[in-house]
Amino acid sequence: MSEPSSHQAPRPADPAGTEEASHLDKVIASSYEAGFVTAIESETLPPGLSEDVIRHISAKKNEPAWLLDWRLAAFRRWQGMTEPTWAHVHYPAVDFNAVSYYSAPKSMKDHPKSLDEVDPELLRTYEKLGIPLAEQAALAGVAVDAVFDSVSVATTFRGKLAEAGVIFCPISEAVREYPELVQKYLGSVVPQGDNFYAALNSAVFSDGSFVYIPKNTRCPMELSTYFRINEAKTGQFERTLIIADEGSYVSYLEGCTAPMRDENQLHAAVVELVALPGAQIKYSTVQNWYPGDEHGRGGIYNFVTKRGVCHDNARISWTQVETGSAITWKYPSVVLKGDNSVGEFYSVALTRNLQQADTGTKMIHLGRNTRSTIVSKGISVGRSSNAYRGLVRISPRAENARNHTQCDSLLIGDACGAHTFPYIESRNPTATVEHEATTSRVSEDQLFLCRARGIDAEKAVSMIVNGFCKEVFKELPMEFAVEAGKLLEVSLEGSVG
Amino acid sequence: MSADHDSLPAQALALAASATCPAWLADYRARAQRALQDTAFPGRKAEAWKYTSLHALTQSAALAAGATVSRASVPADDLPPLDAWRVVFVNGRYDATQSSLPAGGELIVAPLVSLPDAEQAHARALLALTDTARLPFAALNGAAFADGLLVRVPRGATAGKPLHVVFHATGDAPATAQACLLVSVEAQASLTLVEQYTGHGDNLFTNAVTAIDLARDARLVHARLDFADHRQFHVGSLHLNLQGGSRCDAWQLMTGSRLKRTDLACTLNGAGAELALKGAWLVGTDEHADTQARIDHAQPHGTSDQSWKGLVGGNGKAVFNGRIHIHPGAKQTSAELVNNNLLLSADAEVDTKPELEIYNDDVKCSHGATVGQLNETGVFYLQSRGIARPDAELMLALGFVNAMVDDVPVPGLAGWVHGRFARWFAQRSGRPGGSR
Amino acid sequence: MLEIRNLHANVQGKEILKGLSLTIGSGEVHAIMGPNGSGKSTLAAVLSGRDGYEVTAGEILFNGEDITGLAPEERARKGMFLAFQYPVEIPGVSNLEFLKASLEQVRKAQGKDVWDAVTFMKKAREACTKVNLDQAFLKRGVNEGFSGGEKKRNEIMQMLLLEPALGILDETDSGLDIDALQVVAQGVNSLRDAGRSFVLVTHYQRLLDHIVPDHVHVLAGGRIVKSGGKELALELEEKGYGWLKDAAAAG
Repeated sequence: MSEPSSHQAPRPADPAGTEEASHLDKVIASSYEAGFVTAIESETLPPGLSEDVIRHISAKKNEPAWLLDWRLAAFRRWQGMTEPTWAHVHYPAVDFNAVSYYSAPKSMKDHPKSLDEVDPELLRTYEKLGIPLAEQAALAGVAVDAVFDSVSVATTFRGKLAEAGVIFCPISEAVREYPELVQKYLGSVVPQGDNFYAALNSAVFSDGSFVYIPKNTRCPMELSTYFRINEAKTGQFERTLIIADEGSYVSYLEGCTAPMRDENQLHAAVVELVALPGAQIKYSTVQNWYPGDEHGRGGIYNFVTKRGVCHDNARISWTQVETGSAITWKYPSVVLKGDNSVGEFYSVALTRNLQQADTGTKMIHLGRNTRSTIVSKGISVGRSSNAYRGLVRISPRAENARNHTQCDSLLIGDACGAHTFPYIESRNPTATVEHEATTSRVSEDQLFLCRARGIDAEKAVSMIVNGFCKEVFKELPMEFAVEAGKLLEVSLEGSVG
Repeated sequence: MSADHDSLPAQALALAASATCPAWLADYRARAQRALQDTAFPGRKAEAWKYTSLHALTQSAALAAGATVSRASVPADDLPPLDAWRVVFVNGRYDATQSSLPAGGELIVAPLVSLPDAEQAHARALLALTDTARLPFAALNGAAFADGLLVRVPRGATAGKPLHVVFHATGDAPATAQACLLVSVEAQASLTLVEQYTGHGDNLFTNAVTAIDLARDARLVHARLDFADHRQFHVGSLHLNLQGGSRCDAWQLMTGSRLKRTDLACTLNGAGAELALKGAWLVGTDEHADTQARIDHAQPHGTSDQSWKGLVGGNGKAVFNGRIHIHPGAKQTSAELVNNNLLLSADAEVDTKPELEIYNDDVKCSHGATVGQLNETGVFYLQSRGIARPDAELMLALGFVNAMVDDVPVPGLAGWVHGRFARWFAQRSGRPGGSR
Repeated sequence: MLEIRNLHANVQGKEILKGLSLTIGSGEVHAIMGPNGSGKSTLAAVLSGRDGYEVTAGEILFNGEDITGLAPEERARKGMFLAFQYPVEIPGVSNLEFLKASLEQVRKAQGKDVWDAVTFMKKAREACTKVNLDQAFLKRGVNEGFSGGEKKRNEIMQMLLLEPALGILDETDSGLDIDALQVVAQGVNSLRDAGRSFVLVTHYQRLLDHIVPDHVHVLAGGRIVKSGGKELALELEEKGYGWLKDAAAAG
């Protein structure tokens, strides 16, 4: 752990008037364990964005002409759009021409056919991150697609999944192998012109995962994609597309990390989920992009569009644990198009130091008897800013629709911000929408009670925070619930003295 | 979209140019006119106007027509039976014949056009509370008002009777009336104020500004009633400044109109200030009501407690935004907001957004919002006791909003408001229950 | 067990304790009484190491060791226990989870074996029964939504489990009805033995009917102005604190 910073903003005198800083006052930087850089030779496009760059990316990936045209159309739309400014986040304007839009390890050029052919340095990177890619060492029951900068380096357990008819592969490969599926669904949930960052992603997306679960199939393993940004001055623009055919089920998890750098790096992903009638998709995220240091230097700008569409009787659950990124702009949403469909959003967002998050969800009720549940837990520490922004829309056709939203904020320290911006739009008199929000804090009094019972301050904070997040953690797959709990502990390390 | 509003600034500036005002208000007038020139009238891309279009107002002749001077008696039916001092404005002009001003020194009430020199500084201080930079219609009011009212309760005084201020808009031709009410309750003084908007006739636009200052330990009971003809337009803003230890118990009660927009800007500007606010809007066929309540907790130990209820029927649209902003120094703040809505018909719409912006950790804040329908169990219970379904629905719906006014400490007011609610239900809700 | 020597302490820069000395032997129960503002709760807070209370002079010896600079958790692990005047609510953290963490840390530090889950549950249930607290309270958030009396009983329940060498009860009797007061007293009395001492900070004599002290001290103006046996409490009850004010001023 690093030493307490001596550059903290002056704080108002605490009420007890003590000379020494109070325990909550000692908000210092804790370690970011995924902050190392992999020394590897990469082929990286020079910074800048133009039609040529897009043609280059498309050619690198041997894409068919329709996809290049699709990208170029998106690029032209993007050129006419402006960055959204409505979110409760503040940062200097991004120079989109200072970013490199494609970077891949040179060793990936020869398209290794098996793990044995993959550069061991890459495998070591994932091992260090706790994601061994060799199947015998891997977490039983979890298949992993490992995306490194702009390319997928390996996808495990593909054989076993193929037996069940499940397709799990890099999207660049799916474009070649399953063009009819990709062409039908790409952009069907998040259209090219949906928003500024979605348009950018549609123009330059590099790799990401593609999943197809056949009818009436329960995917035999957890699927997982691990995103790693490594190269400096590059952005990551992955695109994920998951199609769950009628009556199928899949649980998918993504994790993300990046090295510690003084510069801000851009991550603008698009995730599209299609849950056909009766299908269920459970999508979990543990987002741990580099958050920047205690002075707000560096960190990832995370501008992400995630949306799923539910057909009749389908269900989509988003669960996210967000601890990373300098700026988070992210609203995983569900369009409840089919009757009796269900959307869920469970979120823990933790901000520290000078991190800023504006995150939440949209539940668009179109079908009859649609249900949605939103549970959002925001934890603000230090001088950070944490905002929940949500939309619940009940359309006139959505007879008997139901929504319940619970939105809680926990403040740790007296210089942070916690905000709640819920939009509720109801146009059907048989629908019921309920929204509740509360705030609480970890107070010196609570810490003192714990310490007077022999529990040290860090343990006490972690108990309180875990209690606060319980409802969300129970939605995560078991292995990841543990990981998420640990991640929060690491993130809070040093948040009290 | 924005094209709808292009003509607004021009109309507004033309209005302002033709307005006259007392010389001592020239500075304020000039500032408001500058603000008006600098302000773009909001399109729906502006977050604060996301759910409300000014289209109907721009298309009507009301704004272009400007002010008209007319005399008309306020129908007795429009006035709650209060034992109170009464001041009446008709189409923005003070009407002495319908007013009864208090004589004693415990309550000073005077129209702005004939304001004694000694009171002018008070009026100017209150006008400074209006946020003309943020609210373009407040700027328009400042740039164009012809008259207004100053109310002042001197230090330590208690007004013996409630004060009832009526702004009446009436006439056959399109017109715009500016209403301006300035209220100062000085240290340890106390006042009960009923502010009412009434009127009949089509194509009339009332643009109202109210500025209230509560000095240290002052007390105010404030009821703002707005039951004017649903064919009218109303844009109003209330600027409330609460100093240390003061307390305001406020009620905002309204039915919808073709375009209704009410902005509340309340600042708890001294330690230990308290605000209790209850509101109800009933919005029915061809009606729209947009209420924006912004509470700023700027100082420690403040308490704000808000409860808002909406009853929306016909093809009515109710919009609410309740924003609580807790500033860094406002330690030990307690702030609560609840907004419950009932949708009565298939074409009705509710858009609600309770917001919290919190910049310190030593606070107790919560908010909640619901949109739903009449409780079926409740309807069934009444039916099982022999009450016909439409009547059961009427009882439950009115009970829902009537509860908001039961505790108004102004004798005679709650019963009168209940009657207005029942009339709305019969005429505008689109439900059969009212037409018994 | 506890020796306080010439203790001076400030709160917000203002001196509240002005040279307090007190010696508490093993197995003894001492009552500290005094009018409002005399420094009683400050003493309890300083003994437990609360932030915001600055010791400017003097020392506190616990079993011969100077603990003046120790953190509250270190004091707890050495066997000191403070029952709070206003127990704090910790929503989201269950009583069980809290107790388990506390017992693990304290018992480990004291070289005692850490109870397994079964033993822990058994002990926790027993403790609840002793203080007449429904077991459902174990699953609820720490003090969350508890009544005043339930919070106080919860404090005593924790004390029964932690078996401290020194229990400091800060106005535990305030706001309690007679039934709850008896529960608290029984809890304390059941722990009384030759190796354990108690400090009862109280404004009223009432608690001392049920927990009979060995010594009674009167605190006024930040100092102990009078000490005596249990009969001193009765005298205070009868005469009030007024007659001592002169003594404080003179001292």
